[in-house]
Amino acid sequence: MKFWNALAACACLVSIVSARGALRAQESKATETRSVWDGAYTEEQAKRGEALYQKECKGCHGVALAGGESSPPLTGGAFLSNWNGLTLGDLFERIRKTMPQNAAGKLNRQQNADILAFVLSANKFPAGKTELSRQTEFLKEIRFEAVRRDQKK
Amino acid sequence: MRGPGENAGADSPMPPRKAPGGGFVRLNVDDLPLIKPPYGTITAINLDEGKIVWQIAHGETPDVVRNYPAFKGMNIARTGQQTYNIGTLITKTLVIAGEGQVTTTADHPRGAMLRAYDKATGKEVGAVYMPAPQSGSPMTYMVNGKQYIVVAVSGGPYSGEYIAYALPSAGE
Repeated sequence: MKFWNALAACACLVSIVSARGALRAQESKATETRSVWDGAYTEEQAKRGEALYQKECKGCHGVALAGGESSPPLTGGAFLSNWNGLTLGDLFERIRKTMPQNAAGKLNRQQNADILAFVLSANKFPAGKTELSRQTEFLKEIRFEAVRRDQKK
Repeated sequence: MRGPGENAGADSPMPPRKAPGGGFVRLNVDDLPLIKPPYGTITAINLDEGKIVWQIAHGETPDVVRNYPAFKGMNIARTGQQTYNIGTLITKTLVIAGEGQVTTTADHPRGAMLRAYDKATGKEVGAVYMPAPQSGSPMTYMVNGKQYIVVAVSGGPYSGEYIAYALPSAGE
């Protein structure tokens, strides 16, 4: 009897482990397929972000996000390559924790998400139907890809 | 009435106003830059003669180009990089400059390289790894007979930092 119980416990464990494995595989698949090319923000949000950008960021990064004497551009090859392969969560945290440089942390999460949406729109990443989240955990699931993956095939 | 001179000189129409934030246009064809490489160069010019002595592509080929599927199996020469601020350090024999873009290659993890070139020929003579692109010009100094190169780096999630490299002493 003990033997059968142990066997049943083993089988149960195996099924839990495999279910977990399947879940993890599903999660990583979802993570892999979501990128800035999948409409990560809305046009409305980018408009809100633009107003905030012009007020809070323009002074250093320029009207057209081209950068200044001691601030990097937020568009173009160097910007795209510096963030390529990372996530929107990383970019969001960089903005949230260190910007604006003279008053880091001044803006709330929603404002930072709106500004990030504007930066994405200025880089010609497509808008979508859902607003960019203000939660870092969700943003970490959206990969920053300089070029569209499906076009690489 | 239409005639010669229309739309020229004082008649020329006002240039279109740039849309705010729309300054960046992806000049890409199938995700590859429209511009023929090199994307960035260092050029040595003889000022007495006004002639180019040498010109080299500076910077690793960007990941999006190097990993482009259609180029698989092809040997793509180093393209250099488009960057917004690389400053050079010139010594008696060398030109030293860091890369301005992040790359990930078989030779180094995600980061950029600080490169040294022979000043007379432009031939690369050495390179060391930096965790982020160069964001300020390198400079060099000597303390107790040991030579150092210090460079400012930052970019992407990497905040500004100075990194000092010590050169091997004679006999090391």
